[in-house]
Amino acid sequence: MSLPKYYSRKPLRPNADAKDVRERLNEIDPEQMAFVSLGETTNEELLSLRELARDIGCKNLDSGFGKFFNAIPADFHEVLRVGFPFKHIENASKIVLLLDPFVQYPLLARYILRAREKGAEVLEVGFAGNERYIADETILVRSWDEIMGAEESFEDAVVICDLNPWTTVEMLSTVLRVSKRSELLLMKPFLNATGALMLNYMSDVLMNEKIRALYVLESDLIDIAINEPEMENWLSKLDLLIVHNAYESRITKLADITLQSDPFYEKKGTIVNAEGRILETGGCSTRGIELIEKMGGMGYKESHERVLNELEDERGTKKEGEIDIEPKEIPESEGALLVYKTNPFFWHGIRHKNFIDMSVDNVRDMGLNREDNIKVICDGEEEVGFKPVESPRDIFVSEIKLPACKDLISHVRVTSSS
Amino acid sequence: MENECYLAWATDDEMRGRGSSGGFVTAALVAAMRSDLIDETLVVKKRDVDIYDGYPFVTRDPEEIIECSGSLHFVPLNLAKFVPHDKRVGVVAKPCDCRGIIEQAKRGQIDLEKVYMIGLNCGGAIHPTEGREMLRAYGIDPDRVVSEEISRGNLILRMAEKGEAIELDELEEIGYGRRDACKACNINIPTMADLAVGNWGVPKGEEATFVEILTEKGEEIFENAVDTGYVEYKRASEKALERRRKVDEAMKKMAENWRAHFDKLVTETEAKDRLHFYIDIFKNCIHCGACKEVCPACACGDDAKCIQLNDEKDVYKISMYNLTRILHLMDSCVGCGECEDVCPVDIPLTLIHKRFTDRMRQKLGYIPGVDLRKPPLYEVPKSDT
Repeated sequence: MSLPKYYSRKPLRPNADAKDVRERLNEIDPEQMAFVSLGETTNEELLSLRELARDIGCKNLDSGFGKFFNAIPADFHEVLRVGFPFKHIENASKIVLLLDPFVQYPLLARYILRAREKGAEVLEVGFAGNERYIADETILVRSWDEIMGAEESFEDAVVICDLNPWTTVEMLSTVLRVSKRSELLLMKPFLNATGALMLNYMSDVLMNEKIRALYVLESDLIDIAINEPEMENWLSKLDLLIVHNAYESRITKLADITLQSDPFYEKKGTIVNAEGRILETGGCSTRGIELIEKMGGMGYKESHERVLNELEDERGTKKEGEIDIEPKEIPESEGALLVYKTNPFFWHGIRHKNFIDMSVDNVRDMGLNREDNIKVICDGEEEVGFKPVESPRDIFVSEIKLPACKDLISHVRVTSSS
Repeated sequence: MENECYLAWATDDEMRGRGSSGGFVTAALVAAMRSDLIDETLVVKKRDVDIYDGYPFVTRDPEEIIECSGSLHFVPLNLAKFVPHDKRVGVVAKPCDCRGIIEQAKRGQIDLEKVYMIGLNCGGAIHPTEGREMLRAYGIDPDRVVSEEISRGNLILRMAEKGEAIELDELEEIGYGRRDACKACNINIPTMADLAVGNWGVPKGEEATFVEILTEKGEEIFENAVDTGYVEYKRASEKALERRRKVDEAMKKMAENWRAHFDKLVTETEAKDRLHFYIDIFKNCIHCGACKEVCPACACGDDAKCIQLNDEKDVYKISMYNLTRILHLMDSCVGCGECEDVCPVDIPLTLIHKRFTDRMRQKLGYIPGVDLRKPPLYEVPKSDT
């Protein structure tokens, strides 16, 4: 019911035309320039932008996932880029969840529910459980080492995990290691992230001091940043920031040049879903791609043909390989943990609720009443509401970004605000 | 002419060839538009040539109506919320579309005087993804099917090279076939529309549409199509009427069997455990609101009670959102199944809402969407409250 918040964002106003933008781009050393898109647009626009970058002589194309491709052996890149048909989930005899499908990827939930109906065993492993009881068994851990300890449970299973901008290389390497003998599906939170990766947006440029100019297509890099002030600082120091978006957002306020595109649902083109299937979008607008074409990119027709040719037969197949990245230690602590369950609102800077989930035991310990608020104290502190859930004591789960907590799992102190 | 039945067909070869059963619907709409009887037409349009994908489409161009000819049983959309306001509009509507339009009219969202409903006899629709899977199971390449129809209990497919008919009973016995909402639907002839049209009752080999005129507006559409030379017709014979009645009865019988089957899924749960049955069904709801968004009976906006009373911080076993919707829909659900189609976690909403509307029908004889009667709970005189 928070969807209207997503669609009621304010359209972005352009302040330059294609000719001006191209002239400004020509003034920058291509090695100090980067083109970034999280993939919230069509393959055709992504390819057209890639051709613009090529025309300028720039090789830096990032989708926000570049850091993983630098750090993880090439043998695993295919599984990072693209998944497998969801039918595999429905027909699996064993599923291991490292995410909460109901919160993070709701459209995935039905496949897991159908697998359960067919008799699949569903196991969830993580720092917090799932209050909808999708799993037959929940293995709660307090460190990544403990996930390594559960390796046997992953054997011959379909493993589903979230790969997002906050995932660390160490977390990813843990997942890749424990799922050596299983089918691994890495879900990404942006609608065409798979397409962006398949079209080679795999550089690692975010926060890189060498970069002086950035062209951002349909993305807000502040919304996805772990440390928002740091990202804002980096963006504001650039010599040139071009933001080509449908809606206004925090990044557009920092932009030197803003270019307007149509909302995704009006765009004509294709995307690649997490399965690796190419899907046609429902819209008919090619306005965005025409603008990129005027700057030196590719037109819709040619771009569409190239997309179909390039993406044909690309499917994720997991390769065997060794990873020597050790899991990052979370310092042992008896204290409380705040666990983020990221979701589409989280990645778009929309605060769709104002409470976090906490254990009934903690609610009783603190003597809280329904209307009370709590203070979550980490690097800073924040006051929010709470919802009592049946979860272990001292596990707090948040679907909203709390600026005080800058990691997917943080040690926190929680007190009553009264 | 009201309540008269005819066999009618388009005089134009192209319309007759492209439309179903002699192209009457296409011809009548084109005639109505060219004669300025209606301003716009609402139809479902195929996405490119894909018979498994379509979208609601409003047009003022008669040529586009011709392009949209033919049936689309793999595209289960309800059109009620897409009816343009303040225009005289022709709508090609299934019975559940018509019922949705009437429910919207009761809630002040549509001016029925301006809506010309050409109601299609309906044997049900098939979910596109499941339809593709079903055809593959039958050794048919779904992408080779160029057109389809449901007739006389059969799903009839036309491929480029040949045709094939599969019995619905057979499909449904092995778990394929129509959506659950369609299986349980016993309103197959849209008697609440202005015209009820279809191929039921048409003699084998004859390319014509069986047309029943139900209202003055229906008469207006029919007479206009004839007067302008777009349509020719003959009176339906007693035999044709009888054939149509028999098909309707057969479809109703199939529906009654399915209704009993669905009802059993609930009644087999002992009364004392029934609350848990519902709690279990709703526990996966993620409150995305998609069911409300597509519901043809719902006319509320963001200030709807189901939203206003719901607080995600609450820990009720069934949320106020779902409880309020159950109460709201027990006197307005038209059984179209759109809510179940869009539910991301497969909650069997058709089953649940049918369970409650059936009770309303049994106790108070009230069926939503078939006429302009107010829901019984609004009909209680003040003196009785």
